[in-house]
Amino acid sequence: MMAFASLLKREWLEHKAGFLWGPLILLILLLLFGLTVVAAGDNLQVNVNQVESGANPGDTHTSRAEVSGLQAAAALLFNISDASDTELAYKLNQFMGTLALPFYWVLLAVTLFALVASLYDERKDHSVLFWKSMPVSDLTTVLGKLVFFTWLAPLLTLVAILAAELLVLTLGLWIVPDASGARLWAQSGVWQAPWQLLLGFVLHGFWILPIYAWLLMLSAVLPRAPLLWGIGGPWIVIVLERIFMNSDHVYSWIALHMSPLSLPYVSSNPLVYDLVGQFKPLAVLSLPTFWSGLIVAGVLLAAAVYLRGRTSEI
Amino acid sequence: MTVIQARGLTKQFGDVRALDGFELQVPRGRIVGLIGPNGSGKTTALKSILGLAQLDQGEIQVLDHHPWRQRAQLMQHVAYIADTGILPKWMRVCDLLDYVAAVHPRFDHALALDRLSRTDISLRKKVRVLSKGMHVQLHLAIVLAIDAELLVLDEPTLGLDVIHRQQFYDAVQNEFFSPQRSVLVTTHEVREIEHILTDVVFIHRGRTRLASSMSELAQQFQKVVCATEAALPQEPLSRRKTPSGHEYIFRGASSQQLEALGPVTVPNLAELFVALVENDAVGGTQ
Repeated sequence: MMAFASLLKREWLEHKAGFLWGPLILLILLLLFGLTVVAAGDNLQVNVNQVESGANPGDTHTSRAEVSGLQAAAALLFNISDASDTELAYKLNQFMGTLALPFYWVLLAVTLFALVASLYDERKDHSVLFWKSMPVSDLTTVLGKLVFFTWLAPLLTLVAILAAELLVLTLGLWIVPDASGARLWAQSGVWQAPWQLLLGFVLHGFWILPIYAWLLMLSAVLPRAPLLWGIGGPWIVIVLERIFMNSDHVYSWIALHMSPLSLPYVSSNPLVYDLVGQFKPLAVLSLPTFWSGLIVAGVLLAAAVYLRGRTSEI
Repeated sequence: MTVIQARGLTKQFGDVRALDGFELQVPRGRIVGLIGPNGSGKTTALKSILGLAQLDQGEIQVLDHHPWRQRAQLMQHVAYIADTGILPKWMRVCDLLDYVAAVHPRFDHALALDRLSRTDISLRKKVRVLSKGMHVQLHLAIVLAIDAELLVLDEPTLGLDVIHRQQFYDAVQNEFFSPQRSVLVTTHEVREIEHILTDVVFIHRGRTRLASSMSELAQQFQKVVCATEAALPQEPLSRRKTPSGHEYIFRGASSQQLEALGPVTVPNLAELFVALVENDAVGGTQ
């Protein structure tokens, strides 16, 4: 157990720059943007594309409005005084989704680059000879990397999204009239957010596992350009499928598994996020593609372990 | 007890046969030098012993483990230093020691720290900023703190100055080696390790050309330098013209007959290796 924990620590030491600085820079940018907006106060001019719901679900129309001043903008965006609790919660969720999405994309980009280099760089700088001179099996090594990239590294992003949410709410409470503050706080779902994010990220790890396993396998075996093959390989299959079968099954499958389906705020799947903003991440377990993804991931991971044992320095 | 038992090791890389029936026995309490030119199969042989290369054919047991199938278990008892700086360069020295302490049940953290305290290596430094000499010192400190039964060294002092090379082998001999432990070492600086070897194995074109203890070697081979070309009592293994005269290397010749030609000495390993490899009459394990 201690040995496995040290493998996770080793990954953290190697990759902390990307996983720490990525979300931290986003947070700093968000803070600067928020303070600028608050400082602008009544001088703020906001153009708002407002989506309004009709009588029936899905019946919406967009109106455009221009307002002056921060309070007026907040009132227009969230309609705090007139909106029902459900409407307010839904709008806040959408707003938080816009906020969380950059964090998710940064996490995805950092993870993809780090994963594709994880078993490749150690062969390139010959340190694989040192790692293999330790009493650690290839299976344990690959599992250590997988657990770190899939479930541990995202914790920092999770914390950053929570911090962003709290930051924006704090600024919001500053802006809106006192009476609306309590509603804003109550409907923000801030108390459920940590648990929703945690469950969402755990499920997301399983959801995106085939993509991560594919990169890990390439990283274990290719003598050069694993990133190129990581992207180019599936691309060739997608193009061939399009030409010869006139279908997009592979593309759809990959795109689906790269989407943040089980994550709160950013998920756009009605199964997981219904129209009133109810978050049901466990619904991903009912999708056949969730299970087909795990099978593909299992095969690719077995290949990664096998190949890590057979390859040496390059 | 035999630490390494290898028979008929064969490994092919494309058209190149790196190992071609290589044989090796390393008993406990021996320092064995594996000597051979570039491309002779030394590194492939070491990698197969460490479980880092899969063999095409042959039988191999290292400390009663199959290296390829049981590498992780075997590495609890084997330590290894390679010819290139293989420590992860992005890691701090202290983190590296913490890692080894966590994954290696036979690693003495305090011993490694004590050894490093006698060097200029700072624990806060990253491996990438260490000089080549410091890199090897650090790896040696780690390896010497592992209670290993076998130490495998693949050109460990390549690129080091003569002082660091000497210090390295002194540490191996005085701080690692014991009657319960064995060392297998390859190096091009044969003369620098000759005095610490108990046994030698010559490898050429993937085959064992000679396997002998150093004491047997001194009895088997003789070198004579004559001022002029002499009538020889038997065909020598090799003959060379040197500034000091004609140099002959014999195998199993009578000392009395040779002393009549000139001063008789024991050839060093480099001379002997060249003599044996150049002489087509030599073949197989002896």
